[in-house]
Amino acid sequence: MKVIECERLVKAYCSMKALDQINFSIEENTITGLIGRNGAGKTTLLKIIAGFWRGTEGEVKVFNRSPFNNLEVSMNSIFVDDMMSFTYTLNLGEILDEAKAFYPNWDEEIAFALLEYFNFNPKQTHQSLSKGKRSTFNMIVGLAAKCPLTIFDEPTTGMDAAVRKDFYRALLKDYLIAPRTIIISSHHLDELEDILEDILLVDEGKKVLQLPVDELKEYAVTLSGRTAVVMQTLQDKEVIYKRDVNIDNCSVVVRNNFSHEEVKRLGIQVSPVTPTDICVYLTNQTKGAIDDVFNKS
Amino acid sequence: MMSLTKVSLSSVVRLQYRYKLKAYTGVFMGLILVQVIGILLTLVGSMQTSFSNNVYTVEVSMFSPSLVIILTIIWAFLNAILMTTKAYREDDFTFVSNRLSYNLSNMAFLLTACVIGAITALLSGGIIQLLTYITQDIDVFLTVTHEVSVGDYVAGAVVTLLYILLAATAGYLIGMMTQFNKRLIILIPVLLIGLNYIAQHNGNSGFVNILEFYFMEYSFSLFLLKAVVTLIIGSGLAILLSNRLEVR
Amino acid sequence: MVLNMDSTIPIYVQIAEWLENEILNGNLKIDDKVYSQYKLADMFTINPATAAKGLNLLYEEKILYNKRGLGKFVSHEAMTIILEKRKEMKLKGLLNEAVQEATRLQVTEEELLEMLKQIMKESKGE
Repeated sequence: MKVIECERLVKAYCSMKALDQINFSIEENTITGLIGRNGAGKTTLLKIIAGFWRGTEGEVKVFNRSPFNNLEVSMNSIFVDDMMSFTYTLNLGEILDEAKAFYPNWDEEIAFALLEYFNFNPKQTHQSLSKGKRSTFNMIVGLAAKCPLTIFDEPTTGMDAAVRKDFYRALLKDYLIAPRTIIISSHHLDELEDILEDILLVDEGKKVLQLPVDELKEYAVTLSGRTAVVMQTLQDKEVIYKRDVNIDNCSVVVRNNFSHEEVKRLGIQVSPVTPTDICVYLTNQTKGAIDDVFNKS
Repeated sequence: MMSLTKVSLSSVVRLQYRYKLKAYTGVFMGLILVQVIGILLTLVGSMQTSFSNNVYTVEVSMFSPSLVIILTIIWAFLNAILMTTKAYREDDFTFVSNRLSYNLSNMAFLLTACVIGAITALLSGGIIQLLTYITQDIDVFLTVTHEVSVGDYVAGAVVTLLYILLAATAGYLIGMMTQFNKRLIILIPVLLIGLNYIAQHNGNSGFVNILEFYFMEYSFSLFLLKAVVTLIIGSGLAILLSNRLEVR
Repeated sequence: MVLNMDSTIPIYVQIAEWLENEILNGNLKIDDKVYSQYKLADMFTINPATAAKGLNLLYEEKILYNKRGLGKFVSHEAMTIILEKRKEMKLKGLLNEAVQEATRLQVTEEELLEMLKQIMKESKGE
């Protein structure tokens, strides 16, 4: 069953299109990583899915309903980001008690256990927390709510590496106990990729690709060797990105849909490309690379 | 699969209302502050008239809770505007909410606050009398209560409440309009003052007309009708407006 | 029990290889039930779908068999299949690389064979 379906979804501000005819769907009980550069339209997309914002054109369905202003969608989903706002008159413990009243699947035990594990004082207020601590607390709310659709928008903002690691582990464990549909947008794909099932890569408001992470790992390879030899082999290949090209040697990223033996025999080295790098190469808006800026001047 | 939870509007509104009673304690702190200031100002600057012949001087000081009621009306207006701001709205949409439940719980909360405001404003009359009695050097202490029947007193209380509610509704509607378009923050006052000016220029009494419509109505039932209809229209407009509002 | 997350080998292949090692080491015997995808996900902090892919890989190679509703079990011919496969794939691959490297370093065939014999002798001696 599909939990989210987007068809030619557009979100326009005046002439700027934050989302430009995006099409995709997300299956039930999967963890999807929403990846893209700054300003690619990730947050806009998530806020429309959560029912906060309205799409300009096209269709979006969450649990087969239009999410905007839908109480049922709101009840069955939670949107976690670093802007989550809690009243200053309640302390952390009281906020968790309130959340319990709102969410039918609320896991009180996990909520308070995590609060203790991450060294929170339940008497603190949300406003008094540091940026990283605030993100950690928001994450606890997001996990404990156990909503059939759980959305994390840049959940690790400000968290240190150790807390991020704990978060990914907590997320996975909780998912194993209570499978649900989870979407995480993040800049830390390398840390996150192992717990993801699918990756949705967006750029300039459009879908670039949507693949299981395993397939993304084998999506492309780097060919490196003598420039003359490598260039020869490129003819029947889909070039994604050329890097370090000079007269003698070069390495080129190509779609991985050919037999490696052949190019290896030519003395070309074939090496895999990490998902993070593929995403960077696929969404490179500039011609060439950052090095070119310096090489020209 | 996790099954979807069915949900009723009323249960969410009830949850949000309960949350607001706990969260918006600042509203009640403001009420206490405003009414204490009102009481103090009444004591200091009460209306005084004095007459004297050469033998004696009579000083008449009137103490009434009017000022406290006026301040409470302003408090209701400002708090209603505050409730529509982004900061308050985001608190709501952190948990389960849609725009209708958000509005209905806001209105329920404002109604509660206004009822409390009206009651305390009326009670402040008693406090003013008491404090006057203690602090002022008075020879003759007159009260008018004995001339007022219970029915009249209740009617007075209802009218006071309705004034406060009208102010809150006006604030809520204006607040919601400015949320929809920030330019209205400037546009609304300019428009109102401008219209007033034009009206007065054409020999019309302008604003006073609107105020007279509500404040100079001597028939209780007619006033009740005017006020309730205004409240319903105002709230309805606010709900309609915010139904297209994007949140968070 | 830590996978090499930075490695460029897909995680599900690493899972499959880890399970094969468990069978080779005798930790998993014939007709033993292997870990479920959820157990594997928890053990290695990976998505259960990835773990399932690893299990399926072994199932397709007939190293594991399915018992409906009970999970996957080690097949009777598991050991033979794994050894055959490793010989075919890994050893051949390693030797291939050695030969290529030898050519690059201008090491003759005799020298390479001599080196191999030497290494085998040393590992036997120890």
